[in-house]
Amino acid sequence: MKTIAAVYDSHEKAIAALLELKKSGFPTTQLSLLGKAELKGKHIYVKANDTPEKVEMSIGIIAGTILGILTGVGIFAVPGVGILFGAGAILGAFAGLQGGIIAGGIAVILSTNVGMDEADAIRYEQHLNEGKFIIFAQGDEPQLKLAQQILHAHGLAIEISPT
Amino acid sequence: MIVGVYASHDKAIVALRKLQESGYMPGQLSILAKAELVNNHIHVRPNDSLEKAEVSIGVVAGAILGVLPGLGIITIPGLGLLLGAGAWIGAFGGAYLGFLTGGIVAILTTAMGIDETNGKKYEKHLNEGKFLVFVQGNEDQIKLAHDVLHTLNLHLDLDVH
Repeated sequence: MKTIAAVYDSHEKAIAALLELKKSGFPTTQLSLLGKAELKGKHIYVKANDTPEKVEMSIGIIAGTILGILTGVGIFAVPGVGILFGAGAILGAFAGLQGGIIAGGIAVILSTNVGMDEADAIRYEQHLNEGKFIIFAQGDEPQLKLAQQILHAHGLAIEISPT
Repeated sequence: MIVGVYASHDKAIVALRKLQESGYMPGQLSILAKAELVNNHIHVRPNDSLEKAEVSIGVVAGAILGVLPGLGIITIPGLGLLLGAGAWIGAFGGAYLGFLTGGIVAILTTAMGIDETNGKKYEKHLNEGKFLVFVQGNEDQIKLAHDVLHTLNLHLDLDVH
């Protein structure tokens, strides 16, 4: 199984892209979403990258929207990165976190557990640190080609990785 | 394994903290509860307040992340939303891959090794808005954890399996 990634500068755009993939029949069990969250006071927020005000959104709203598409959302404290949230198939990759991989940060998880190229993984970690959102689609070559076409046509991504 | 049943997330988190102070590792501790989607927002509803005031998931998640490194919220057909943290996340990974259709009892029996009768009892607790705290370890650790939680005395129910 291969993976492609698409980078978005806001939660809404990423969700819209997920919905577009779902509508086109791409299996939602092969989709994942990753973003960064922050703990302020006692509340967890997600920071969007695309508004000048960088309006904070409560994790409750985001998780609620995601759960309309994918069946699970995870929120993880990663040393040196902060709080990440992930949804979908990628949650399985995070299961290893408890075992100690957490210390290696997000790039290690993406390369070791999701099977991404290390250079790509480091770049995606940077995107996450900047408050961007990444969609991962996994599947065979024809599926990923289709996913790329859908996401290109949808047109909201900052970057879509080649297969 | 020990399963403690608590009426609110506050009490469950106090119990987790107490266990952490007593030397238990995050990989040995888990918390499980039901969450609700109200107007696009996820809440948990504690069982112990008269008003049953809703608490935003952001607050609960923040408190949990102070003790455990991760938490998950998953959709379970027929049950609604389930919030879990700690060693449970591993079970969630599996849940996503197939246990999900079996519901919470299947997860409890398959992933946590709880028998079906108790699995059903805990499912009922979850449906009533209670919070479950799990401790895993060797015999000595389980015995000590039982003493710690028993002394803390915030639980509704405390089982050793």
